[in-house]
Amino acid sequence: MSDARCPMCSKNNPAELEECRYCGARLKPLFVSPHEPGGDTVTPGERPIPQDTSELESSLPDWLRDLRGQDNEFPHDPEDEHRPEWKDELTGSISSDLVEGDGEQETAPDWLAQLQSHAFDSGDDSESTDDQGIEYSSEYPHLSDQEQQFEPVESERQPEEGVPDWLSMLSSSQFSPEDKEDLEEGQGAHERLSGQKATPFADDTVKSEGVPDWLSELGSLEEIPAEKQPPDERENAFSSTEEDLPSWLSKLDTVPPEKPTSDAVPAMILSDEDDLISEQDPALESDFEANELGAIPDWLSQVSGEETDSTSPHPEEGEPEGDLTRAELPTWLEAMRPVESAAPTSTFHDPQDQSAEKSGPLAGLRNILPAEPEFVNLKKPPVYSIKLQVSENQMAHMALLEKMLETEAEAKPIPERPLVSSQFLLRILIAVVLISTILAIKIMDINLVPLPPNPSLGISEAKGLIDRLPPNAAVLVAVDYEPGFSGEMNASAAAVIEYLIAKDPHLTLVSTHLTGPVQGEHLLMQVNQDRLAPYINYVHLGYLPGGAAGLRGFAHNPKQIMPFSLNQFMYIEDAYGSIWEKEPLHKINTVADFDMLLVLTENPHTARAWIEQVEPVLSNGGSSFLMVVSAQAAPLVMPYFENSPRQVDAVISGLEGGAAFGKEIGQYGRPASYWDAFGVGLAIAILFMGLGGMISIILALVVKSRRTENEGTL
Amino acid sequence: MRAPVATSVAIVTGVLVLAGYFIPFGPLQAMRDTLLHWAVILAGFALFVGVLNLLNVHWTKIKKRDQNAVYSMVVLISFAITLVVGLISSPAGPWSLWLFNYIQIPIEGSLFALLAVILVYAGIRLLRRRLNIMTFVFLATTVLVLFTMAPILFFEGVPGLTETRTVIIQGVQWFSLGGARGILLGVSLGVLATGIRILIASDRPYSG
Repeated sequence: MSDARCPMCSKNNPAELEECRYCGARLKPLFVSPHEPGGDTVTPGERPIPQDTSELESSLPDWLRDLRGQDNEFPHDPEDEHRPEWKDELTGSISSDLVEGDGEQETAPDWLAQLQSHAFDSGDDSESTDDQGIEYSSEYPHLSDQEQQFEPVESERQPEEGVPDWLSMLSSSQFSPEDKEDLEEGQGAHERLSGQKATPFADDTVKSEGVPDWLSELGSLEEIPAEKQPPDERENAFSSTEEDLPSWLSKLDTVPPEKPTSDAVPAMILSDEDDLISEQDPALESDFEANELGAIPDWLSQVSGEETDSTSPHPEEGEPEGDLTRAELPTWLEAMRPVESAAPTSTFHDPQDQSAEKSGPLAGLRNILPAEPEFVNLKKPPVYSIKLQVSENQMAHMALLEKMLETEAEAKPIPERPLVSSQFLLRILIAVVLISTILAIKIMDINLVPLPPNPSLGISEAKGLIDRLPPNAAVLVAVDYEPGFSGEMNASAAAVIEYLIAKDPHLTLVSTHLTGPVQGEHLLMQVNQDRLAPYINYVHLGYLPGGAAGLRGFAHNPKQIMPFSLNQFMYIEDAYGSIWEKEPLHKINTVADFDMLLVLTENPHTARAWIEQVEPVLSNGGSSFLMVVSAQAAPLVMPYFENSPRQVDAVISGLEGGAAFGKEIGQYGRPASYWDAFGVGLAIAILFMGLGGMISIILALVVKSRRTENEGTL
Repeated sequence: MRAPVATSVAIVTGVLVLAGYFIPFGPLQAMRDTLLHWAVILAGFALFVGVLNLLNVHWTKIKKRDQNAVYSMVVLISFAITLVVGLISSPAGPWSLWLFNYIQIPIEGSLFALLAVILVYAGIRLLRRRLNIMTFVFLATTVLVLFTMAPILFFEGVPGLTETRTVIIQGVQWFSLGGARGILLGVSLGVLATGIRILIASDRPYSG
C-alpha cells in the first residue's frame, strides 16, 4: 500500500485520504491535469470508452434528429478513400448521431455542431487547408502558439482512440446531400456572422501515421499572413455559399459582421502599450496581434466567464447571507480603516491566465494566485491642486515680506566716506585759522590784547607772601604737572619763580608725579635762560610715591620719607653726608619748618591732596602756602582760598594769573608774550562756537520742520 | 571670613593711623609715622613691580608676534633708552632733560593743541547733533567762561562792556565755586565712607 505524501508538511498519509490528517492540506488536487495518469480526459493515443447516451437523445433538437435519417443519403466522396480511418469514423459517427439520434439532436452543443461542419467539409480540396489553418489560429486568439498547435492534434486523435460510442455511431451514419448542404449553409452563415470563412479539412494531406499532413503544415500555415492567401479562392468560397443561403439566413447576412476594432483592446492592455510593444519587439507584436485577432468561441467564452466568476468576491464578502444582517462598523472603527488611496481595492486576476498550479495545496487550480503582486494595483494618492487662492492684499504682503527678507540677508553696505567732506573741511578750517593766527601774532609780536586790567584774585597776596620771605629762606616747591601742560604752567609759574629766585631762597623740589623731577629741571632751566647767572641753589628730592599717604608722611617727617636727592653729584659734600644735614635743610624736621610751600599743579585732585594732607602740618608752623594752578584746576582750588580761615594763602590760576602776576611785579616776561596769542585764539574759538552754534540751530530747525512736513504728508 | 590676616592688618593699621591724628600720644604718633613710611616704601616698590609687569606684558606680545607687537617693541626700546640715560645722567640730568624737552613735551603738547581744535569743532557741531535745552545751556556756559577769560578785542572803548564782563566773571565764579564746593563735599563724604568701610572690613580691596 503506497502512502500519499503531503506537499505541505511532507508527512505520509493513507492513499485514500483527500486531505492531510496532520495539517489539513489537500492531498489530491481538485483538478487533475489531463497529462496526469488517472485523469478522465482522453489523452492523445488513448481510445475513448464508448458510453450509452441513448437516454440523452431525447434532448436533441429536431433538426439534429432529422439529420440522423438523412445520414445515408450523403453521396460518397471519391476522395474519402484517401481519408484517414479516424476521420472516417468521426464523420460517420457524427452523421449517424445527427440522423439517427432523435432526442439527442435538440441538446447537441455548439462545439459538436462545429465539428459536424468540419466533418462535412472534409471532401474539399487540399487548398482549403490553408484557410482552415488561418481560421483556426484566428479563432483562438487568446491561446499561445503551443496551445494552438496542440488542440487540433488532440481533437484529431480523439476519434481514433477515445471516441465515445455515441460519437462512433455518428461516424457510421451518412448524411444526405440535402442535409449536408443545409449544414454547410448553416456553417457558412455561422462563419460569416463571426466574420470568418469556412475552411474544410484537407483529409488527403496526412502523410504520417500519427499526424496528418495538414496538421503538420498547420504550424507553418499559421505563420502565413492572411493577406498572402489567394484572394480569389476565399471569394469563391464565399460566393458559393452566399448563393445557396436560405432566405432566413440571407436576412441575417445583411447584419454587419462583428469585427474586432482597434478600440476593442483587452482589459489590461492599453493602446499605448500596443504601440510600445510594436516599437520594442516585432516578435511580441506578432504574437499580440495573433492573440488579439478573432473572437473568442462560445464555449471558451463561457468557460472563461465561469472562471472569471470564480474570481468574483465571495457572497459572504459583499452580500448578506441568509438571515444574517450586515454588520455596521462604528464610526471610530470606520475612521481607522485604511485610506482608499493606500489600500488595495481588489486583487487583479488575469482572465486569460489559465495556468494551473502544479504543486502545493492549490495544485490543479487555475487562476488562483494573482498574476501580479497587489502593490502594483495600488492607486495613486489623490492629487490636490497646489495653486493657492491668494488675494492681491496677500500678494502685496508676501512681496513685502520677501523684500524684507532679502534686505535682511544682504549686508548693509558701508557708505564710503569721501576723502574730502564738509566736516573734514571744517576741521581743517578751524585748525588752520587757529594755528595761523597764533603763529602770526607770536611771530610778529603784536600787542593786540592788553594785560588783565585788574589783578586777579590772589595775585597781590602771592606777591606779599614772597615779599615777606626771609633771606635764604627754605622754600619747598612741588612740581606736580604733566608735560602736556608745560606751556600753560611754565608761563604761569615763570613769573612767580623768577620773582622768588630774586629773593635768593633755597629751593627744595619734590614731585608726586613721575615726570615731576624732570619737569622741575625744565622749569628752572627756562627761568635760568633769562638770568645772567643761573640759579643752582636748590635740592631735588625727586619723586614722592604713595599719593596722599606719602604726602602725609612727607609732611610729618620729610627726612624719613625722602632721605636722598637726585642731584647729589652737584654737591660733592653729599657724598659724605645726607642733604638733610646741610644748610639750610638741617633744621627741617617737618614741612612746617619750610618758610613757604609753593605747589605747581594742573590737577585739582593733586592740589586737593596737598591742601588736605600737608596744609594742616604747614599751618602749625606759620608757613605760607602758595599755589599756581592751571585754569582747569582753579575752580576746585578757589574754595580753599576763599575759605575762612584760608587753607591756601594765595592762588595764581592759569595764564591770566601768570600775566597778572607779571603785571603786578612789573615783569612782562613769558606770560605776556603768550597773552596776545592766547587772547586772539580764545576769541576765535568763541567766534567759531558762537557762529557755528547759531548755524547749527537754524539748520536743525529747518530739518525738523521738513521732517514734520514729510510726516504730515505721509 | 576671607583673608582674615590681611583684614586684621588693614583694620589695625587704619585704626592706629587714624588714632595718631586724633590722640596726641607720642608712641601712637610715632607708630603712625612709621606706618606711613612703610606705605611710601610699599608704594615705591609697587611702582617698580608695575614697571616690571609692563615690561612682561609687552615682551609677551613680542614673543607671540601679536598684531601690535611693533608698538610693544617701541615701548621696550624707549624704556631701555630712558633707563640707561637715567642711570647714567640721573633722572633730572641733562640727557634726561633733553629727552624730556624734545620728545615728551612736544608730543603731549601737540595732543593738547589738537584737543583745542577738536573741542572748537565739537562746540560748533553740538547743537547740530542734539538740539535741546541742556545742550544749549552747556554751549552757552562754555562760551561765557571763555568770554570771561578772553580779552575784549577792538571793543574796549565800548561803554559798559567792561563792567558787563566783570559781572559775568563774578557770576561764573559763583557758579563754578558753588559747583566745586559741592564736588569737594561729595568727594570728602565718599572718602569718609570708604575709610569707614575699610575699617569695619566691609570693603576689602586688598583681599583680591
